[in-house]
Amino acid sequence: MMPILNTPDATYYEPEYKAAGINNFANLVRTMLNDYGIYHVQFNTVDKAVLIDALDNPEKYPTLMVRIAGYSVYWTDLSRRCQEDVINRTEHKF
Amino acid sequence: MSESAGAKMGLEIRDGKIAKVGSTKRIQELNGMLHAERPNGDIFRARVLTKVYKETEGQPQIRRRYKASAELYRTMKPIIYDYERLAGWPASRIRGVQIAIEMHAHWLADDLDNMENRPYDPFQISEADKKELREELIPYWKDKTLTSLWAQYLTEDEVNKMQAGGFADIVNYITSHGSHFLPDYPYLMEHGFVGLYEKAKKCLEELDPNDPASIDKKEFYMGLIEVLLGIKQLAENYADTAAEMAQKESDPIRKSELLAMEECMRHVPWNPPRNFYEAIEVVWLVFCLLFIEGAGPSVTYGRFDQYMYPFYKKGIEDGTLTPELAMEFIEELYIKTTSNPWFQSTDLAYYFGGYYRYPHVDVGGLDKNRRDASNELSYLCLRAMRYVKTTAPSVSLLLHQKTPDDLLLEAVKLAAEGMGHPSFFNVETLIGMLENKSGGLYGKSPYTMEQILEWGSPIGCVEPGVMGYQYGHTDSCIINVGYAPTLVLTRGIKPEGVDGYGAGELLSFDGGDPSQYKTFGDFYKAVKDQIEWGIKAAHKNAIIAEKILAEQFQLPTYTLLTRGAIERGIDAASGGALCNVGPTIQLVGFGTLVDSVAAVKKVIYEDKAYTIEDLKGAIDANFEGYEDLRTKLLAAPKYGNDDDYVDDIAAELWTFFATTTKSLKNYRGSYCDPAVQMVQAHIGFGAMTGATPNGRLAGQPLSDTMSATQQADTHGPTFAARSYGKLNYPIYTNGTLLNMWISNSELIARK
Repeated sequence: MMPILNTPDATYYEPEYKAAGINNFANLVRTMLNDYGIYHVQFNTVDKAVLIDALDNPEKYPTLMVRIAGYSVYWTDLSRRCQEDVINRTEHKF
Repeated sequence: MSESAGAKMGLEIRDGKIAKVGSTKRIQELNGMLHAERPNGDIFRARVLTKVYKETEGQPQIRRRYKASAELYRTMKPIIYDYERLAGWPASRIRGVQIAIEMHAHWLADDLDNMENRPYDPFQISEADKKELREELIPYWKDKTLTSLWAQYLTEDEVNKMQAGGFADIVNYITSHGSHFLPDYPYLMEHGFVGLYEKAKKCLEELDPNDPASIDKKEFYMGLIEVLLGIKQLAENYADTAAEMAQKESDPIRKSELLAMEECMRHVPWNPPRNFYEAIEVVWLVFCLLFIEGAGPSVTYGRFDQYMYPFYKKGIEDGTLTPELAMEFIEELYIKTTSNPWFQSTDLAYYFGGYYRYPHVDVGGLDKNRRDASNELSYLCLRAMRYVKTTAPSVSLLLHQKTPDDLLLEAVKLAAEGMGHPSFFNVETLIGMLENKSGGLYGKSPYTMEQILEWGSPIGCVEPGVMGYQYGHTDSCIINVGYAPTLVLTRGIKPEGVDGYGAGELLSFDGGDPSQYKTFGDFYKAVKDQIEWGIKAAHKNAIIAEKILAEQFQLPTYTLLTRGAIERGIDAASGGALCNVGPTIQLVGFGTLVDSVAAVKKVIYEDKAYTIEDLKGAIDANFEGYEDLRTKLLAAPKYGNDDDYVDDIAAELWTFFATTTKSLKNYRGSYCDPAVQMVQAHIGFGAMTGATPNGRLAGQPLSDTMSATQQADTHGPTFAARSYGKLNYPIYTNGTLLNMWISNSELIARK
């Protein structure tokens, strides 16, 4: 396992994870790909509430990114109709 | 808020607030520079291409194309910004893109004034450049673009339908040439461009002038040599600029960096790289070349952790490299990659907005002996994205049974950041797709298993390819299968009031009065007939463009980086690769299609609650006055819940689309590959689609990619996954794409 590489200037801090959720996520990916043979999957993992807030207050989220399909995009580079579509997708919980 | 406000506001916001994130000060500053710029169009390429074309009027087409690329490289002005270690920019500013005039001149004049304000993907173009475009460049090219040449073969009605009808569409294929490519990095790492130069020279010397084939091949080799010397000159120009800047630099650290850049550029990409720095410089500079010459998206880094690892290992061992320094280089590569927007036609931006140019970095996977291939760089590539937080490249994990849990955990931690990175790909399925790639319904691809194992990886969103052995546009035609049930009911007529070309007119074909469909089987066949019509309509028009591309739109740099093309003496666009892919056909609106068919089966033919005529009335009226029928349709079984009633229909239609597509032959001899990808096209196509029998109202988005209809998968991720697990993946030889959404609060306790 690779240790956290932090130069003195780094801006990144690792968050505190929920062990069960991380584990479920890894197992879901294993099941879908290794067991079911599904070719590809990718995930949005932003909370829906954040996106709903970002819809009307984009100035608060200059670097918020979402996955559209095959690519990530800055939230604020998206048209409103596309933002609404992302919000309208199904948000799953384990 | 207007339709366009989101996109425009985003640019305005980031102009002021700079996102200086990254593992080191250098990366933070470079990220800040990236976020401070707006996407902008550069006309340097258009100007050079026009000059060369005017000078070579009447000469062989290949000579003109090759001379243009050579001149571009020779004359491009080097640009080196503060803090940079990697040299090279494909345009004159950060977030710049070369406007490929030979793809866009036919529409550009109409939208030029609106370019900064168009709703999707606005671009800055200076007033002086606009003037030059309007007065000199566009007039020369407007009748010579790929689309203009293609349109000569069709009726005007067909031309419009194929670009904005909303059912069968090829607009991406006819506006983005020079794209979807895994350049032969393994060769460059070992031999450099000088290896290709010597090969081309030898082939030229060995030509027999009495062999009629030598006439074209002589042009080909002479052109390639000129392009190669242009690439050499480009690197030299960078080295000279770095040296001049070093001389003026007062900061001793920056001075030494500039001198190191000079040394690097004197050596690569002409010679094979000697260390990690030179190797990653090659990786980046090749991207620049391909973005200068090509107009399209999806040039891809592929299995970066494999071809870069020898340099990483050597650097760590001899003490010239640390993991931290390697990660800094990777972060710089990510920032520069994100800098490249895709300049799309206004029609295409309607589907594919977001500027993204679809580059990949793929990590993990198997080696040629089917052992796990992951290494320290696999981890670093995933880790770097957590620090640098850029949209590109799309970092992907190539997962297989033997992938270490630690590597998967590293990928999951990246996923928890909420940026949409990484993509997860199944290597075993990728291999299955590549074994049959472009080989038709029952045929095999030309790849050996060793080639697949060693260099197989996704291109663009998801399309399987083998680095160096494949060329062709993998995102060519879109069939809106979600429209098919509606078109059965409307007898091929596009309903009034929806977006795009030809509302109220015939969009596909008239299959007859719906009352003739006495059984579900009758209706089901009619749906398939509509889909088959769409596939064939797109295909017949795309292969016309493929022929024009092969004859008139050669790509010397792509050819150089396609293994075996030099020996074959054939340009990549003309069929020089081992595997000549495309045009391909992909579907959009799969969940909408499946849910619609299942709803008709249940409500009309089984429960007999309403007649097919009632349904036709409801679709025509966009369900106004048919609320009860709509309620029943919405209550029918939905794909994405592990319900065989609907999943069996899904599996059958899924395979039907693939087999129909794979039966069709392309101009350059290989067979058409099917895919499910289509980015945000479900929104644009949804706007052009009338009401659908799953209860969806006219104009609303279709289901995205191969995912269940929005909100229809109500039983949690495992049930959704089981539905997806019932489909045949290897048959989709151009890939499949699935989106899911897991709440962030499931993964992260505290930030």
